[in-house]
Amino acid sequence: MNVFAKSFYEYRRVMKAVKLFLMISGPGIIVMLADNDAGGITTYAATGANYGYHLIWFLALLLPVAYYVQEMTVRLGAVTKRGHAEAIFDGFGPFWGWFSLLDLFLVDWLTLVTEFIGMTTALSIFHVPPYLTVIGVCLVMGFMVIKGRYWTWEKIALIFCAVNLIYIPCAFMVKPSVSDILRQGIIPNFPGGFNNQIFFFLMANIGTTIAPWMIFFQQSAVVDKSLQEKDIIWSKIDTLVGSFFTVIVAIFIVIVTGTVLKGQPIESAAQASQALMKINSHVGTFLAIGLFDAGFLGAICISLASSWAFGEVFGWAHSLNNKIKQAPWFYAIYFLTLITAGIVVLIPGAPLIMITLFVQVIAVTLLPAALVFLILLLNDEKTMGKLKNNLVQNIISVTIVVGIIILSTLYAVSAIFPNLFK
Amino acid sequence: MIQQLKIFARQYKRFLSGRLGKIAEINRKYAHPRLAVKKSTSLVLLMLRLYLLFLVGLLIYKFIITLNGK
Repeated sequence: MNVFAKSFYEYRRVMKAVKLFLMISGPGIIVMLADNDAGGITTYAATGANYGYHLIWFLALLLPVAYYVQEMTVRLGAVTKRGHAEAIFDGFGPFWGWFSLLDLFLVDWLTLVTEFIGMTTALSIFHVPPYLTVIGVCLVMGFMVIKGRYWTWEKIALIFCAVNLIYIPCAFMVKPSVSDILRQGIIPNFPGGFNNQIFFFLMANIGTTIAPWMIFFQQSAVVDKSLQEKDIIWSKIDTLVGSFFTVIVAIFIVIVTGTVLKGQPIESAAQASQALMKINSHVGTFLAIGLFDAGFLGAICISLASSWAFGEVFGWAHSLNNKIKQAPWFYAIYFLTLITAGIVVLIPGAPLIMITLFVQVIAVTLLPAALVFLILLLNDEKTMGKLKNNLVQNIISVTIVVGIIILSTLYAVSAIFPNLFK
Repeated sequence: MIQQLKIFARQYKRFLSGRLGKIAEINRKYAHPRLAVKKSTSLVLLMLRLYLLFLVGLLIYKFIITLNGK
């Protein structure tokens, strides 16, 4: 074989691999970028405003945390062809099954309300009335599933994922000092010492990294996409790419607010974009668009996580490849959670701040159980065969899960008793 | 009107009993969990139950002190 033929063969081989990756990728990238939802954007914006670039190193540490947890859902979904809700019923019986399903439904619904809060607040900056935002979002989300094709839904979701990267040009537009970022952000440090406030911010960042719906969503998406055991390697890369982007987006948000708004009392992403608009209108506008997009991405994944879980357990048709007539209950849950959550935001005087705090507490009632079940199922040789967790994977995942449980529990406790860490 | 209400009530009752029947069927289907047999697994599940009780206790405590206006 001459050099030309060899190069052509290599080129074809690489292109084939790229095409295969593009076909299989999706759930990992979508779940990871949806992780940067409205609540996440607010946390990162506040982190940058309070500590500048000093906590960037901590955000970088969240990459392996997110990857290792979500990678387990890929393996479990591809091997068992079951979503997480059904796997819990099967592995641990009705008590834990119903607990997980109903708690997931409640957590998802409350989180969906917070996503609507983020979306309506973001668009109100552009003088769009909240009711129009809610109607528009419900219509777009209805359009995404009405075709009855998983691929259509995934492609549209990936477009919204691409919009989530808007924070990267934002960071370049505020002209941060690269040497300051490297000097302050790369080496682990705690500005002002390890006090209660910084501990609260670390907990908040961990709390936004892994949410219960992510575990249920990705496992169900892997099943709905009919991924096989041979596709696991590509799905792992998909998850790794997603984790990389989620951390990059988080870091760039911190760079934006850390450069322009450092020292200002920022409590929400909407407040950050309004403050930025006074300094640089383009950056402020991008931040608001990003906030809307983050809420939307969160909403499309969260509403699906609930309906997939109910469909699996009740044995209803529950695929995005089904049309509404073929899977009426699946879509009924999808639209029910969506529309009711949207309506709550429109009710004058609704306790939205309480809901925002409450969601963290309820999420913590489900997260440890979902994570522990994940590890136990991944260690079951009968279910997983040769794809079960090995010793190294167990050490890493148990360490991560114990860390997440401790920090997210403390975060929830701090939401119930706000003065505890102040 | 009363006739229509009766028909609606009958249909609703049938729907409800169908749903409850489905729940009972799910409970039967998963009555024997596959994994919770090892001692270590049972211990982990016990710890999860205690953890949940702890969280519920905290929420009840918060609820009571909020009611008392502290």
